[in-house]
Amino acid sequence: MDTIPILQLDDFLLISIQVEMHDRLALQLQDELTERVVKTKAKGVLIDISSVETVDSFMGRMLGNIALMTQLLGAETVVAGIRPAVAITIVELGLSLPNVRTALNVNSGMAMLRQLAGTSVGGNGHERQPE
Amino acid sequence: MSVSQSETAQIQDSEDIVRLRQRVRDVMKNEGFSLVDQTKMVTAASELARNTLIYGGGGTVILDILKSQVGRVGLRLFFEDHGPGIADIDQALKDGFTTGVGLGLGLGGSKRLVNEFVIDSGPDAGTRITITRWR
Amino acid sequence: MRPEDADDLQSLPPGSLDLGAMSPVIFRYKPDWGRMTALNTINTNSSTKKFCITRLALEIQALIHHHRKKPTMPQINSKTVEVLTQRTKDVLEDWLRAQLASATLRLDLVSENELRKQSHDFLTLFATACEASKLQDINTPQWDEAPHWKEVREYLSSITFSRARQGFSSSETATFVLSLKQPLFSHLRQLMNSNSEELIETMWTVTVLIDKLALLSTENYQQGREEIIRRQQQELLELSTPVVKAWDGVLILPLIGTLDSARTQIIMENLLQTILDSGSALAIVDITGVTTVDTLVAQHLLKTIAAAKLMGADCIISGIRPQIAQTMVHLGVGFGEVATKASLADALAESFKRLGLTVGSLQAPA
Ligand SMILES: Nc1ncnc2c1ncn2[C@@H]1O[C@H](COP(=O)(O)OP(=O)(O)O)[C@@H](O)[C@H]1O
Ligand SMILES: [Mg+2]
Repeated sequence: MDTIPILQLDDFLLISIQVEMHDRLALQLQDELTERVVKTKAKGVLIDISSVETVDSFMGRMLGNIALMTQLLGAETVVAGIRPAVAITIVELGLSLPNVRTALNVNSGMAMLRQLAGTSVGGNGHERQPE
Repeated sequence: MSVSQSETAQIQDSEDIVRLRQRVRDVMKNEGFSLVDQTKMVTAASELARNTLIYGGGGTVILDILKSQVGRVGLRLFFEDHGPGIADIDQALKDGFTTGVGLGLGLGGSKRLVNEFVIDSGPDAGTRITITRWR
Repeated sequence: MRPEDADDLQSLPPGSLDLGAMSPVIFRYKPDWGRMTALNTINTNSSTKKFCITRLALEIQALIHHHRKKPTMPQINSKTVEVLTQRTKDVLEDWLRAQLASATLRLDLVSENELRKQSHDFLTLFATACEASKLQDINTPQWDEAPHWKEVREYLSSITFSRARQGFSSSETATFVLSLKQPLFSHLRQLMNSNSEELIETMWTVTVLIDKLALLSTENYQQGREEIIRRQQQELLELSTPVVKAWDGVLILPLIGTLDSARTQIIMENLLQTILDSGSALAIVDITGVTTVDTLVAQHLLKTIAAAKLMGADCIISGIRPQIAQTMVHLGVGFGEVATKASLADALAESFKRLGLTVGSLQAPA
């Protein structure tokens, strides 16, 4: 079965969604990601969805849940690369992603996470331990 | 107006939803729909297929390619299940209303994403929803 | 019905039916007064109108006919079928000759071979349909819905649409089916005793039949042209929506003129695509040049800004003129959380600030 790899880059976790998301996979990603945030004490999560052609309310709910949970664990979530047609559709669908920050691409998403982590250093008690 | 191509698919598990999304995408690409049109219709299909699966206990979808006399092309999807049906359709269509764990955007949202939306449902009468998007 | 009306109508030379010549007669025909008036208010091109009037005139002629004689229903008789099935080749050749001789034939747009094929195919379908619906009243819905006639109509429609696309005029297109009358008439005349009651009835039926098809062809032509215009408008719109890159990371979309919702939609999709392609995180939508904004357009604008936000770009709206601000308040649409600036210059200054840039004049060395 498909799994979605979670990469670690400094203090951040990076996920790039390259496959068609079916519902079970989405729930599985949600669980694994929260576990990894706890284990790695990551300060931010970047989800690259530039390859994703469809975001429905299920996927929207998953993204919102991930953002909310990571926030509770002291990390920020940035979703990068939402395509124009997908963005238009999300708006028409009525989906709002209140806890989710968005960025044009992976680069600006990482820059955003670094900035957020920089400004909140020491504030959340989740400094990464040297390994 | 005539139906120039028709096919039926089952919706019995979450992989069927993925397959339907891909099929709708391919068909619309083939028929020259714009990317935005494709994305809106695929998203609506995904919402309704999931409802068919979760609330309707599974069902079928019929996919028809329509050709109007003037050569306009449309895609019509007909979802049908024999589940419990919807007692209060107006309420179910309201954004945010759900009896499950969803966001309650599936019905209202998919209605906004298509050109034509027809729903026929009632308690113990199953649910039939037809959506059409024109090129 | 006054007897002189009938004489008026019958004295009209065939083919010369036009609004001017017809109206004194038709207007006197009281029961159809309403339909005529309705017809005159239809804002359609003159050839459609002419067909309607011709049809109506023929109906009136038939009514007069029935008034005088025992009423009969128009039906395709065995003689017509005989002409179409036994003399197919001759009819086809005569018809082609008539088309080729016609002043409205566009050999620059359709080749003789193509014309021959179209005529042959149409005649085959037409003959089959006539044979299948022999001796049935042609003025009934059942007759219209018969599968053979559907095939005939569909084939004619396909020819019409392709001609509309190729640039034929409406009358050039209708000539195709109308010019079939003459060859059919002459063959019928050869087959039947001229001046017989039967010949008149038969020719009348064929006239009604072909006019029905010609009317359809004209309607289809109109629809076909509308579709072409719609497409061209679309293409034009796509050309006329420039998005300007003002600075690295800043786009400007200057909106000018009247925004309707089709145009707004295309402009906005274009903006989102440019945001993606250029990697710009800021976009200024300048509406200084916009004359009016209605609810739908305002909603499109707001949805686009929400979509841009999802993509990771912020929008600033500049140049909201007082009238437009008023309209929007009146319509109950506000720009809510969206950043607005009075002028494009202010919006640019704001963008530079957000990018951490400062603008100042260079001090000349003393
Ligand atoms: N096929 C169906 N059969 C029975 N009930 C349905 C069906 N589709 C939708 N519903 C009802 O309508 C409600 C709203 O559906 P929807 O707008 O898709 O939101 P959600 O899926 O998030 O609950 C559902 O919670 C359910 O009660
Ligand atoms: Mg749903």
